[in-house]
Amino acid sequence: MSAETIIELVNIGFQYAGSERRALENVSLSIKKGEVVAIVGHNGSGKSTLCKMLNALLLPCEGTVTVDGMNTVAEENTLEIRRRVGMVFQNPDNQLVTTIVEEDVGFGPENLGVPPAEIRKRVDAALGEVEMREYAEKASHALSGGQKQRVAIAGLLAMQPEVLVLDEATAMLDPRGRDEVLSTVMRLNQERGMTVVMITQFMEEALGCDRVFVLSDGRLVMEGTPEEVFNEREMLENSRLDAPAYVKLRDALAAAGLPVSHSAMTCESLADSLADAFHKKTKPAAGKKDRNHADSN
Amino acid sequence: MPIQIEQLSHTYMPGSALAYPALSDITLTINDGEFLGIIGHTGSGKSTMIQHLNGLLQPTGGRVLVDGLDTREKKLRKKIRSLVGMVFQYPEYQLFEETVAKDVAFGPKNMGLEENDIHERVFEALTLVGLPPERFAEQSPFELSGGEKRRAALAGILAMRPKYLVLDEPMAGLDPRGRAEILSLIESLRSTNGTGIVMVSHSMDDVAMYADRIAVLDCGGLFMEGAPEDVFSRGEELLKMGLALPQATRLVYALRARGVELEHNYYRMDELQSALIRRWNA
Repeated sequence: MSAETIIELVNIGFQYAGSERRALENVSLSIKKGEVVAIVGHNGSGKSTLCKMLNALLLPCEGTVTVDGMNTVAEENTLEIRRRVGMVFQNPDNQLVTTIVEEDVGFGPENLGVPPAEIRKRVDAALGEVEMREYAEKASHALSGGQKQRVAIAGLLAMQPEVLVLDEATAMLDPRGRDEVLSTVMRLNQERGMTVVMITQFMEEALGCDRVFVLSDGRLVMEGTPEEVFNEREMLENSRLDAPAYVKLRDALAAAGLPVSHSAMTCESLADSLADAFHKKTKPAAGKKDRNHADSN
Repeated sequence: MPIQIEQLSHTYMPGSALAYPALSDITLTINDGEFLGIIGHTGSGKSTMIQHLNGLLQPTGGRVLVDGLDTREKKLRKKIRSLVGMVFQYPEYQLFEETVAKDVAFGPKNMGLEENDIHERVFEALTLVGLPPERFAEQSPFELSGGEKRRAALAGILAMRPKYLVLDEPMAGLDPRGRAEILSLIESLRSTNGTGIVMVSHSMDDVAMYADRIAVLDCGGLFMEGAPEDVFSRGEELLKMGLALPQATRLVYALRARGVELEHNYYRMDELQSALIRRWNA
């Protein structure tokens, strides 16, 4: 295990009691400190099971999971692992435990036995990080979904974790709520080097990650950069997934003869590439290649 | 006959200190066999509004007529609920019976139908949602996959043969294939059975692709209403409201910012694709 690896899974196998099917089969992967990774896969592919392995909510039937070198099966490690790996789940209404926002954020450190003055400091800092300080004394049930998820994240930050795991944390949110949550975790990653593991059904969300893991029927079928993964259209199809809409459009345009960049996968990069192509076509002799901030290749 | 929403207002806990006006003065008609999309950010009143369509909530002002039946009339509600099928978010959490067939039969049974008729409807509904009865009828609903559970829950509503189907975020939490399956099922209900569809969704792309007409709610009021091309041509206003644009429209805007002007504010990827190819070959 290299020095910078924070989570490592080796040959994980798992089967729920009473089930005839293997939920996970021989999955190995490692996540480095400061990385943002996405785990994608069809419903029932084992994503959430895998996610629960990351902080010892579930223990593997075979193989080992280590967090910062600590094996999750060793009971004496459980508390420390759960402090280091914070988990945000799908339903914003199931995760807040108290009625007032700041009490909710303080709940974790209080359980860790952190002294009250220190709790106060951590709660204020955590609410500031998710831009919810002005809601500190508000009733948590009255918040929007995106705000509730950000309070849930603040509750984890107050425990000073090293990894945030989001298990489809944006699935029930509207576009604004989703943006709020995603930009919050991305900022935590950039400013604090927080490691982020994002489980998602939205392929577009995975595009912004450093690496993507694809699960299908309990097996890891591919890992790579978003570019590598989302250009494997056949693999995605076989895994009941779909390429992001702009990738599909790009491929269709390329097939029709438009010179679009193969690396264009988002709205912005596809627009750059298309605008460049159209401008070159209308002014072929002008030679002003860099009049549009065209992307390379 | 349509569903007519006339000057509908709804205030939660009226007359108390906690009175909260959730809807004000909404007038909207949902035509037979129409696919109406409803969009609006969290708290805009979408859920409050759709709960009026089958009388789960009663107006505190104005009225709602379903095929001419006023939802305020208590004795009409049973009839209204058989006309308007309501599929809430994550309907699979409401599965409760031992077998899929029993679960789907729950609605028709409550309607007081004969055993034979119930049986026929259960088989019909399961077939419609793509869960062949011979394989799924006797399974426990809890052994199904996420997408199958969602479809089983939908079958429970379809077995009541509603004339209108109201769906609140029917694709939330499903994988891309599951989303596509549910959407094409909804679309085929409309095209083959003429079922009127009212779909609340955060996915502008799904609404753009399937809806004949879109109603935009904001702060409890009807902000605008019209065909997708009209609604999505007012992109700036939607963005200001905290809504997203369909991916096709976003690309049109991004191209415009780079000096490439297209004929329309396309809102469907397939149409944008043809337009770009046409332009390239022109």
